[in-house]
Amino acid sequence: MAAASAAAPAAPSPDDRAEARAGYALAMPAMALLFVVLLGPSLAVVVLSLTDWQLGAPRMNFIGLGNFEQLFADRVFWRSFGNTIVYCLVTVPGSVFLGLGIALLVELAPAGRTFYRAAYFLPVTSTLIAMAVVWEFLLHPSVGLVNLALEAVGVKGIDWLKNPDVALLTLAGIGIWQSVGLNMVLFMAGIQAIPADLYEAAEVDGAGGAWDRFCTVTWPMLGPTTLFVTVVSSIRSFQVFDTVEVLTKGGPNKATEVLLYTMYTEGFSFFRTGYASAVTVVFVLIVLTFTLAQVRLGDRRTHYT
Amino acid sequence: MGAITISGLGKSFGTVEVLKDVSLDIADGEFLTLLGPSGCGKSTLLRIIAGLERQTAGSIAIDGRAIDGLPAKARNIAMVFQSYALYPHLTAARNIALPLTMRRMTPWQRLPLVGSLLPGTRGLRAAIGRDVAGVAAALDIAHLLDRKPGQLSGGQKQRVALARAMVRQPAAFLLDEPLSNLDAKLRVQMRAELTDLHRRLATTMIYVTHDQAEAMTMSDRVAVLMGGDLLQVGPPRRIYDDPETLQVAEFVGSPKINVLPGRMGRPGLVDCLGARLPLGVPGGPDVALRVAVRPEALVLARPDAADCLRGRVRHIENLGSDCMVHADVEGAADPVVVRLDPEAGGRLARGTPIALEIPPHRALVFDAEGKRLRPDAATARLRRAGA
Amino acid sequence: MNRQQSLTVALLRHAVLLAGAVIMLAPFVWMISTSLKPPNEIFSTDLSLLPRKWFALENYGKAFTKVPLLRYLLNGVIVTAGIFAAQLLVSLPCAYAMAKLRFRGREVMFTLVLVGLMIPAQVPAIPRYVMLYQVGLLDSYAALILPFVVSAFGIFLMRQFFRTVPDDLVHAARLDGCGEFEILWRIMLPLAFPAMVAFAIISVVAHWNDFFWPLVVVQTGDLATPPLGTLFFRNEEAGSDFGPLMAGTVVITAPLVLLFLGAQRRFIEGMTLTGMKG
Ligand SMILES: Nc1ncnc2c1ncn2[C@@H]1O[C@H](COP(=O)(O)OP(=O)(O)O)[C@@H](O)[C@H]1O
Ligand SMILES: [Mg+2]
Repeated sequence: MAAASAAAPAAPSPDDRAEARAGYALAMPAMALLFVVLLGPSLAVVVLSLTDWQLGAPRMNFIGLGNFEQLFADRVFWRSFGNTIVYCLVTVPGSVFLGLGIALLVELAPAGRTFYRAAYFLPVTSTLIAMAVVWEFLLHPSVGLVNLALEAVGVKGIDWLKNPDVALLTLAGIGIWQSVGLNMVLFMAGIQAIPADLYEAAEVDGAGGAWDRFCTVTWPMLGPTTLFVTVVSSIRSFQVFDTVEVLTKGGPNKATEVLLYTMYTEGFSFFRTGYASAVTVVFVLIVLTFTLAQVRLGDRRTHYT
Repeated sequence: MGAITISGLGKSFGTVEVLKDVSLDIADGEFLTLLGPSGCGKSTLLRIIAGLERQTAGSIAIDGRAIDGLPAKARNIAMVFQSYALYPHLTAARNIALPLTMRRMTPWQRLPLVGSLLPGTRGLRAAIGRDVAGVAAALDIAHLLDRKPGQLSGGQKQRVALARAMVRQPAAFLLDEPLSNLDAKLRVQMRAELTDLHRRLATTMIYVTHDQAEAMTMSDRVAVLMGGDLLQVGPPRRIYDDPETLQVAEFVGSPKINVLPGRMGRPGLVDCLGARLPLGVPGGPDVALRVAVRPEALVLARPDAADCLRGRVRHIENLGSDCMVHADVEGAADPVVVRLDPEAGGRLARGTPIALEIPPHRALVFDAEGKRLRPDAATARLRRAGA
Repeated sequence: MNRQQSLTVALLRHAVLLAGAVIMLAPFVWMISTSLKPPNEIFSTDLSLLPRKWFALENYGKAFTKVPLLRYLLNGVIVTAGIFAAQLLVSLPCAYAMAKLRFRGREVMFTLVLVGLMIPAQVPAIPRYVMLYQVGLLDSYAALILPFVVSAFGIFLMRQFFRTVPDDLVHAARLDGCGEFEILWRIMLPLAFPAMVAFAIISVVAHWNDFFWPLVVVQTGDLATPPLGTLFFRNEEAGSDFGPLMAGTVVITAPLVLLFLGAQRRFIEGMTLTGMKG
């Protein structure tokens, strides 16, 4: 018997191969395209960052890490890098904590829930460029709503986008306005996922007040959500570009120059392809650090049903 | 026609061997039950027969024709899944119609909109509709045809799944624990209905279950599968009365069979906790044995009788029709269970000393590995003469 | 908590949330309000929502004649619809294969998809631009659509969804005579409809609003997508004629905002998943 079963065919049968063939046939177009439009170009960026190529130039030379040396010696790059960090340091905590606060308030009672959720979420879906143009008008130093409103309560307005001390903060403010709604709904989902009996248990254990319940149940249970929201917000803020291009063009005097904007001007205005690729590589290394964390967290907390 | 021959079938997932050298002949029109604890490889075997999974050794033939290379859809075998696997987005009628649509209509005719303009499509659809209605009437689900699975109860889903399997008149049905998601009462009712259905269709059915009551009540033959090994195949009664191994004896029967330590005494005699049993099994003196006795086989003896197990009543379960008495017996690791009629059981109380007699012809003897030892021919004749 | 306390809490909650909502909505409200006002009211310093003299017709009329607003919107529809149709066509079969079929290299492929998921959209921009430049496709619909015909996120999302469909259903379909393509088309697609809606929302919102890529590849105004069109409009006006400009932004933002207000729940559920996207 043992001999018989050992002699029996163990090779993949026609049917197994048919399944594999179907698998390749269905998956291959997507994989090929993924390589052509995404993975290949992303690898090419790394290669280009090691060359001195300029778009249209007849030849390119490998210059090793020359672009990076030039980059790290460039004051504008460091300015751009620093601005991006500052932008994140303002936008991320701002939109995360505001998002959490709003979500907690909205979830406190059913009254007005749908309205508030829609109101705070609206900026997330609306076209940012169009809204940036609106913000430009709102922030207009003389006829803008913001300064008019400030003057109505007796505060002297400033030129929000032309003042180098506040321009970056202004952009960060718009960033918060745009993204707080997304963080709010992520937190709302997290809050709704907390089992109600945990609150009952906390009450039995003597955590009766709202603050006590927040400390003993809500906040600890929201841990994974908070981490996730923070990472997602960080990645989004690192990619700030639209408002800079429309509202300040990196100015005044490089006060709002950010990494993607540097990449854009080097790559598509000056066509210094190799140099712009080096900026991209730096950019991607930073974002990837966040993203790796995000994917690991995301696997844990996202449910598809 | 659907005689199924399984020979030397093996299946491994990586290094884990799930099925080991399974050979089995199933006659056309037979109702065969695969019985075994969960995780023993029953579903795997069924899925290999259906063509959904690939064996790593051995082969399967239907009516003498090997089907190993055929894809599932070419095997003419229908399956009813434990989860019913009804398509949630289709009505019961369209669920039942799908196998016919796929078989009878060309890909062009199946196209939405365009298909219905092609010649012949309407006639085919009408014929399919008639077949669906016929099966639905036979299973008493005609009134459910417009509902989606989400609007059906468990029993109704079960019938729709059966209808979907039946409608294309396959060579054989494979049923994977089809009743395990139903409540107890419905399960008993469906048991009878399935048996009846099998009688009417006279098609081969391979029925998988871990429930021995289903196996015992429905099947022509039962195949006991444990740990990937096919331990015994035979009619239900034989599996129960005449198990080949201790494993089978222990798996079949509720309450579980009593297993007692034994030892070869003088030739032909087995010593078992003070009882000397003339069992006539072969073997040298002092060989360790196991003696298994079903609870209904034990006989309550007078307290002073000889050659008995002795112990005290530990616990009494009165089920109304029967009375299960659990007794601590000296030398036995587990309590011994005896089935008595309620009257006899009623006379006992916790702590009552009792003596239990083992009728020799009801005792099953196994060697230390759990293999059945049968009386050799000479002693069997002697025993018959003695009795 | 007694009744009076809870009333205070409720009032406080509404006060804070309403104040926040006013700030969130102010740009929208002011945009609409301004689009209805004549220049002299726009440049006056009193804050009134409704215009004293209705100037809507003039502002919107000017917006539609000064720049081809309808053309921008049409471009937006062409580009987003083209991208989404291609993404669906390419991702669905791949997602199904990765979820339910066994073949060598499947895990490696899925890892590549995950890698693709992590790459920010702007990273491959330079080589993509070079490629399009070399085949002479810059400044065309193709340049706007081709780079996005495959979506790692779409493959990932649909694969995760397909994995939740029980294997038994696929097996039943095989026994019933369906081939792999038919399983995808007859069984998986209808079941995956909610996931497809979520994917549609994410894809459409992302590409309708995308600014970076159109800015890079489009030079002629006729190809501008709505965000780029807005910028062209703004630059043309040199930031002075606010009435028509705001009318223009109203028109540009209206489609997505209306879509959102019409299908709020689905929108929010869908956008929540974008968290997964780099
Ligand atoms: N695709 C698979 N990969 C690895 N192991 C599997 C797979 N399918 C089943 N098994 C294993 O094979 C054994 C038998 O499974 P199954 O046939 O489903 O058991 P049963 O139906 O008798 O409960 C189990 O231990 C199970 O874990
Ligand atoms: Mg099973």
